[in-house]
Amino acid sequence: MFSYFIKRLLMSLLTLVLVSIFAFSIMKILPGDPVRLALGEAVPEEKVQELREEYGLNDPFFVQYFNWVKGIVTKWDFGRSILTGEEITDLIAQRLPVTFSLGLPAFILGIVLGLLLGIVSAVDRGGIVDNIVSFFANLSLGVPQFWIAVMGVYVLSLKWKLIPLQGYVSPSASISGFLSHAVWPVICISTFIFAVIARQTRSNILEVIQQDYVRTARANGIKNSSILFRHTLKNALIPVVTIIGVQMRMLVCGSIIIESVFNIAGLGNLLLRGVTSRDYFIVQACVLLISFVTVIANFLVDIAYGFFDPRIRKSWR
Amino acid sequence: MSNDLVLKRNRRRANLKQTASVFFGRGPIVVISFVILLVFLFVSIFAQLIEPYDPLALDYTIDGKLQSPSAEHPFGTDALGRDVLSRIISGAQISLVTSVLSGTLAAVIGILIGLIAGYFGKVVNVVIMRLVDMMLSIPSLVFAMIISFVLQGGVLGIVVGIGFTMIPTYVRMVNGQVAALKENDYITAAEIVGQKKRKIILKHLFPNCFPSLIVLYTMNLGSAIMTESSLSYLGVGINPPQATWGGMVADGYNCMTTSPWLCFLPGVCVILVVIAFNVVGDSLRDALDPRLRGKL
Repeated sequence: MFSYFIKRLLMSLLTLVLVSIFAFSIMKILPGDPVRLALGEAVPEEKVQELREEYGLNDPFFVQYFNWVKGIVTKWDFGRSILTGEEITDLIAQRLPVTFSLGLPAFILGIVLGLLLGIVSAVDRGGIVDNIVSFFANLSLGVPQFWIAVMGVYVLSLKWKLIPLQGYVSPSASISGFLSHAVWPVICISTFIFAVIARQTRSNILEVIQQDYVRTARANGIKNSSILFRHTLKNALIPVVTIIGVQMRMLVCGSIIIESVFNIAGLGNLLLRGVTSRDYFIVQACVLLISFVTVIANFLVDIAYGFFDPRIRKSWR
Repeated sequence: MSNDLVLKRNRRRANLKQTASVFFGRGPIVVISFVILLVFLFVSIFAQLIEPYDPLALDYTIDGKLQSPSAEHPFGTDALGRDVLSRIISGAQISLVTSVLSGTLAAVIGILIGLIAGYFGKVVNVVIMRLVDMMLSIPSLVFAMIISFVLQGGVLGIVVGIGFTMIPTYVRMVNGQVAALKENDYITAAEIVGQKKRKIILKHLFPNCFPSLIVLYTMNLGSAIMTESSLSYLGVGINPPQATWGGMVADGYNCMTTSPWLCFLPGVCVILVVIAFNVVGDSLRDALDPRLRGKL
C-alpha cells in the first residue's frame, strides 16, 4: 500500500507540474503583447513598457515561469491582475468560498441521488421506477445546464415567485438567504453528475448480478437483500468510485456556467472575466487552481480505490 | 462477375442488414432520433436556402422587435427584430460545422497518437499518457475556453478548442485496444515477415478499433454541440452577430419576462440534437459491438 501511495503521489505531482507549464506557456503563445492587449491601443508605449518591467515580462521565459511558481509555492502569491492591479490571491480568497459553498452541496447531491436512484433502478430493472430514472438520467445528459437554469428562473422566480432572480448570499450572513438563493443553482450544477453516476451505478450492478458468485449465493438460498448489499453492491460500486474523480471536471464546468447565469461572484466567474478582459494572469491562476483541485480529488479517489480493491494495488507494483 | 465476388457481396449485404435490424430494433426512439438528425443535417446544409429571412437583418421599429410568434414569423422576433426561425436555422448550421470539424480533428489526432502510444508502448506510452492525464485534469470547458482565447475566438478557435478537449478519450481508447490487439499472433506474424511498422499500424491495428471509434465519434458530435452552445452562452464562443443556439439563449435571458420563447426554443434544439446523437450512438454501439455495452 505504501509504495502504491508514493507512486500515485509522484504521478499527481508530475501532472501538476505539467499543468503549470501548460497554463503558463499557453498564454505566451498568445499573439501580441499581453499588456497592450489588456490595456488597449490608446495607452502610450512608455506606460506599457513600464508595466512590462514591473510584471517581469521582459525576463526570459524560464525565469518568469520559475518566479511565478516560486511565488505560489513559497508565499501563495499568484501575482496581480494586469488590468486593475488587484492581488489575485485576494480575489481567489474572496471567490473560492462562494464556489465551494455551491459546488460541494451540488457534488454531494449529485452523487448521493445518483447512487440511490441507480441502485433502485437496477433492482427494479425494466419496471416503472427504472424507466423513470433512466429517462431522467438520459435527459439530463442532453439538457444544457445554462438552459435548465434559465428556464428554472423563468418558472420558479418570474412565474411562481418562489426563489430570488439571481445573486448570492453568504451562509455566514444569512442562512435562509443563502438557501433560497442557492437551491436552484445547486440543483442545476448537479444534473450531469447525477445522470452519469446513476447510469454507471445501474449498469455496473446489472453486470455484477450476472456473475457466477451471485448465482452461487442465490443457489445457496441466501436472502435477496443480503445478496444485494453484501455480494453485489460491494463489487459494483468500486468502479463508480473512480468516476467520482472525473465528476470534479463536470463540477467545475457546471459552476462556471451557473455562476454566469445567476451572476454569482465565484471562481468560474473570475476565470470568465479573465478570459473576456484578456487579463492573462487571472486566467493562468484560475486554470492552475482548478487543475490543482481536480488532481487532488483524483489522487484521493485513486488512494481510496487502491484501499478498497487490492487488485489495483497489485497492478501498480 | 465471378461466383466468389457475388458471394462476398451477398455476405456484405447480409451483414449490413443484420446491423441495421439491431440498430433500428431498439424501438421507435431510435427511429425518431435518426429522423431528428436527418432533419438537422438537411437544415444545416441548406440553411441559406431555407431561411425565410436574413438571420442578421435588424428591425428596430417598435412593431418589428420582440414580436410574438405569428404566421409571418413562426417563432417571433428577438430584441433586435431579427427573425428567430432564421436564426435557429443559421445556428443549426454553425453547430453542425463546429461539431463535425472539431470531432474530426479530435479523431484524427487522437487516433494517431493512440495508435503510436499503444503500438510502441514503453517510454512513448508513458510520456503520452502523462500528457493525457494533464489534459484530463483541466475541465473541458476551461480547456476549450483558453485554447479559443489564444486563437482569438472565431470558428477556428472554437473548433480547435473543442477538438482538443476530445483528444484524450480517443487516445485512451485506441491505446487500450491496440495494447491488447498487439498480443495477437497475426501481428507477430506480420512482424516476422518484415512488414513495415506503418503498415502494421494502419492495416492491421487501426481497422480493428473501428467499431468503437465510430460510436465514440457519434457521441462526441453531441457533446461538441453541447460545449459549443455553452461557450456561446458564456460569450466566449463564436462571435456575434453570427446566430448560435447558446448565444440566442443568452440574448433572450434579458427579455425573458415578455418573450420567454426566445430562451426556450434554441435550448430545445440543443436538447433534441444532443439526445438524438446519444441515442444513435448507443444503438450503433449495440449494433456494431455488443461487448462495448456499459463501457462507452
